[in-house]
Amino acid sequence: MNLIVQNAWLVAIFPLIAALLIFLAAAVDRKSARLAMGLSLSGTTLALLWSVGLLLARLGQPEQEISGAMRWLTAGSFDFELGWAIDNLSAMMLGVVTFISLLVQIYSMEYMAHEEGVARYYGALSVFTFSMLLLVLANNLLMLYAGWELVGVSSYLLIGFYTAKPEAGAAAKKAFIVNRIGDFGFLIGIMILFYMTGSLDFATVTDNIGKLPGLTLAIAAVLLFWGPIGKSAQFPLHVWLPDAMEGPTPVSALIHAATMVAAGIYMVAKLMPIFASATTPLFGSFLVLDFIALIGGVTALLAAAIAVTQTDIKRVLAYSTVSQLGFMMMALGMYLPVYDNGSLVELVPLGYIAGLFHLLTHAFFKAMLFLCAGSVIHAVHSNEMPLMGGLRKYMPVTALTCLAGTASISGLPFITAGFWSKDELLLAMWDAKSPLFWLAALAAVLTAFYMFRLYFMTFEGAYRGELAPEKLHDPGWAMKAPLLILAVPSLLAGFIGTPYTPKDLHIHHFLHYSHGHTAAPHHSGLVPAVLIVSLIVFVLGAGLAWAMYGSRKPLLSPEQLATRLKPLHEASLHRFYIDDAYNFVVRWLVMGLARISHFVDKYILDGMLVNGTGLFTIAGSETLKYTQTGRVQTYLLTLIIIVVLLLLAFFWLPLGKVI
Amino acid sequence: MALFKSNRAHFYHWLAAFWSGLTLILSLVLLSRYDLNAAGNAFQFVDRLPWMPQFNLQYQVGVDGLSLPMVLLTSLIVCIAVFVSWQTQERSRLYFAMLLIMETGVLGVFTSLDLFLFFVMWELELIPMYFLIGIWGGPRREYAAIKFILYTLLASTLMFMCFLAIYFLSPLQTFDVITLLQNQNNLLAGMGRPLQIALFLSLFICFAVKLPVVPLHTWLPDAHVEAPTAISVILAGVLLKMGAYGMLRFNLGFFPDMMYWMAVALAVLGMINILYGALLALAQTDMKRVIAYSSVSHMGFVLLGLAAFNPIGLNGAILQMFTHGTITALLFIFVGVVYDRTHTRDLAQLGGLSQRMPLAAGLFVITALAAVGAPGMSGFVSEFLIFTGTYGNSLEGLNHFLIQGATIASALGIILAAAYTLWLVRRVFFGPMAERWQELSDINSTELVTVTVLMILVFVLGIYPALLVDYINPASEHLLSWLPKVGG
Repeated sequence: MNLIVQNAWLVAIFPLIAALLIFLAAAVDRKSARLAMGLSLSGTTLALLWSVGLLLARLGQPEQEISGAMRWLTAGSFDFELGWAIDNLSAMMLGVVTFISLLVQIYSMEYMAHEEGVARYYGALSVFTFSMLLLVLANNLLMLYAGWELVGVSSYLLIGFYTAKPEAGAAAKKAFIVNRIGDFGFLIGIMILFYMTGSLDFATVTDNIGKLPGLTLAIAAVLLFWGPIGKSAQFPLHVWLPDAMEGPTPVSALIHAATMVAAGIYMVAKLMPIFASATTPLFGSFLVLDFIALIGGVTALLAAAIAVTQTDIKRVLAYSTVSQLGFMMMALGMYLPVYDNGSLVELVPLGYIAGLFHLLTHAFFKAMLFLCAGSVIHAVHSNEMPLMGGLRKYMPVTALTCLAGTASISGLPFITAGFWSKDELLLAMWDAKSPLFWLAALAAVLTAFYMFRLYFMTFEGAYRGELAPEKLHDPGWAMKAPLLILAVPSLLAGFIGTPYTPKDLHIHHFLHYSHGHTAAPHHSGLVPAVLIVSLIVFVLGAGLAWAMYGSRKPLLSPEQLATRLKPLHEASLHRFYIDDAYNFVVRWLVMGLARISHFVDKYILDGMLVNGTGLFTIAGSETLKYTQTGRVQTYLLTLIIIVVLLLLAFFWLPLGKVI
Repeated sequence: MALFKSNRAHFYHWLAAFWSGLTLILSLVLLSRYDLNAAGNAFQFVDRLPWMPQFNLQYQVGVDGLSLPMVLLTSLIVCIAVFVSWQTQERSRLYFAMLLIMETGVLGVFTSLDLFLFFVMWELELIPMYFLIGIWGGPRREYAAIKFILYTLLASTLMFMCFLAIYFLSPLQTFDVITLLQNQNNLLAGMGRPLQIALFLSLFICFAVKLPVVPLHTWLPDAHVEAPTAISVILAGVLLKMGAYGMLRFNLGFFPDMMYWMAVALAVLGMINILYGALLALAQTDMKRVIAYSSVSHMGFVLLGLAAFNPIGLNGAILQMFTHGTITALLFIFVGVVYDRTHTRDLAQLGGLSQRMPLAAGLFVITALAAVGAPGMSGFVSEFLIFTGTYGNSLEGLNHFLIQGATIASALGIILAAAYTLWLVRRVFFGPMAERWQELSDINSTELVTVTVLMILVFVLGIYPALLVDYINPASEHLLSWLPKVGG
């Protein structure tokens, strides 16, 4: 155990070594698929063991300091360091990342078996695991930013895995660029914080955060939050995530559902002392945390509203992910203001644990749902739900796990993890008396609706596909086992956060937020009002889906509803025209600017000025050669005129002072 | 200096490889024997020989933490360039002789500690370059070569006048850079302010052409497009750095207060370079032009870093010179790899090449990621330093905020860089492939070796930049110590 604690940083190094070996092997022998799998799995297994060790160490001795640093470079007398530290939050994330990474890699052994470039796939997966662990280990802004960028890089590599497919390349590029737009703000936020506090270290920055002028801090915080808007696919930068579904499905499960997109949530939680210290309003009485909550709320509702009309199973799950991340963000933005003599001095985060709790449960059930979708796609050879239906008969394991996931995300009361974490989210909003509570409730109704719609359309009713039904079957064990393993925490992980959980095992005990003095209120029982809302939400959403898609004779025809709500339906189908707006801006504004620059460069700077000078010189010399008349008088006259002019110039202009 | 033996190089590939390799080894020896603990202000390995004593001219060379990385970069890139031009058959004797003469010139520029020698070396590099583009270049090679030489010659005339003025008008009456730098306070005594400004600006413009600073950059894309691959590699990898080096050595060295006074202008010029260059890169349809304009954009970061006037920004700028040298060299090598096989650089005709050239595609993706500043590679380090450094610039009052504004605007460059670089990757290597590229072969072993060497360097410096920054840092602290007032 000591070995693990003292060398905690190795957790990230194992997958890195695996990645290096895989790429080396692939460069030597392009058919090294089995070797690549072996290397990748062993690297991740070691990382998982290490993470479990660290998690146990944190549980055993919560006060123990696990950290270290290495000098990166020195500028002036300032040392830039690669520093790592493990607190309870990062220990939890380490566990989640390595656990799901390992399961996804096992799943991929079968799923990717017939693809070309398996070595490249596993290499990139290992790079991803490394980057994500680097991000989680970071104890300073530099390393956080480095890990942050690197997960973007590995995501780019994996989305674009099917290199011959033009959509995959386009989606990979889009994902990277949209993330870069977020990173632009993040980087400026880091620049401001570094400049104002003279440090990149989390602890030093947060200790000195009070010294920043209020508005500067608020602006820096908003800019920092720009990063998570990109990475966690929040409105208005959510557009890359649905397109990212062009990547292999296991990648969607790992990166675009469970881990990387959760990095934004992790970052906001990790830097919560900065966001919670921003007590100067941006305008009116609108604080940075309000901004975070609002963005989360808009995202949660908007994405849920898009998900209800999509027919591509992965796109439904993608919008669902966007929406769930919005829920988490909303919770992180909940706070209790603390006043002293009438002025706002402190914000106590109310949804800090709720957001992270939901991150944890969501990681399990959403990864599982994506892997289920992978099994279905693997069997049916299509992403389109209208070509599925009735699959439960042929793929019972997949159907059962998918049902468990659907129940969990929809918040089936008491026996699913999703219920407890969603309850916690709603509770935070209830406590904060935020009007967003009702928005969240509406989004939750839509969640239950589109998830049960997905389940019914895929697994119930009659089979509508083109492939012969005899060919449909559950996948092999390499794919089935991860599904079944993930089903356990999808249902049970919630028990670390119920009011009846023993205190020592409770997530509130493990992840308490400590900056400033006041602790967030902690409920010892269920709050009846919130519970009732939760129940209504589930029944309403799931019931509506059953009425439209589940029952033998639809009580409500989807087509009729669509015509009745035509404008809304159209907008949802077209993703509320946000992608179109981006395309418009890129095509007309950015490329327009580029074309104008090109024109200026080619015809004005180069054409007129540079080549013009050349022409002028030629023309000049052509003219001048006629002055070579050979008559001495003319020469003398010219000489005298020039001398006189020079003399005049010397006296009139202040040239004398120059020399 | 043994480095200059390469002057007398004979002909043919192996010989060129031998001499450039020897130069590289010697510069590595130099690196290993360079004393890091010595005071940052001292030039090391100074050799001094009288040259034309009656005119007070001498041959004096030496290195400090600013020039040492450049010497290393030059010898490495030229050695790589020799291997890149392995296929050159046409008049190869002349070609390699020119290449090595140019190396002499460039190394001379980076090591000269005498103004006159510096000027001679500066010109010495131009002439082979003119022939290398003019003889072995593409269809419009003569136009490009003439444009290149006229631009630079005009600019260096300004430099020469400036050096002469310093010699004759300063009380020190010497070309000796060490003496001049040690007596900075005396250097400009007796010159009027307007003359000082004129001297400063003429030097600045001379180096700005080389860097190149927008709007003096239009020679660069033409020269790149017409030049053979190896020459593009050297042009972008090394020659552009001479401009930045000159600014640091002479503009900052001789006129520190004026440079400081120009800080806002530097930041704004840097910003324009970064954004304008990136926008231009987005609008190109020729693979090589995209990269040529990306160079304009990336060199803007050097200017931006200079404007910080603190060690973080300046280290970033110097490191960016080195980093850009290696990464852009890689990019141009890949253009060459593609062009040698397809004989086109037109993006409309390329696409899907990864199906035939998977290894080249993989390596190009890594290079592209290095160019957009992905962590773990050296571009990330220098960009991070430049941004954080310049944001915390040591100026005061309004200027301070103006530079911060320029820094923030420049950060938009990281988005544009991602856009044009990844767009290039996609257009060349991914998507559907045209039928006629069915027969293409993957990257060969010579190309692979050159690429691997550069890539390892990019990774090593990205992971542990202190290896090089420990050399740079004392030099940049020393450069900053001349400023009228130095912030943290």
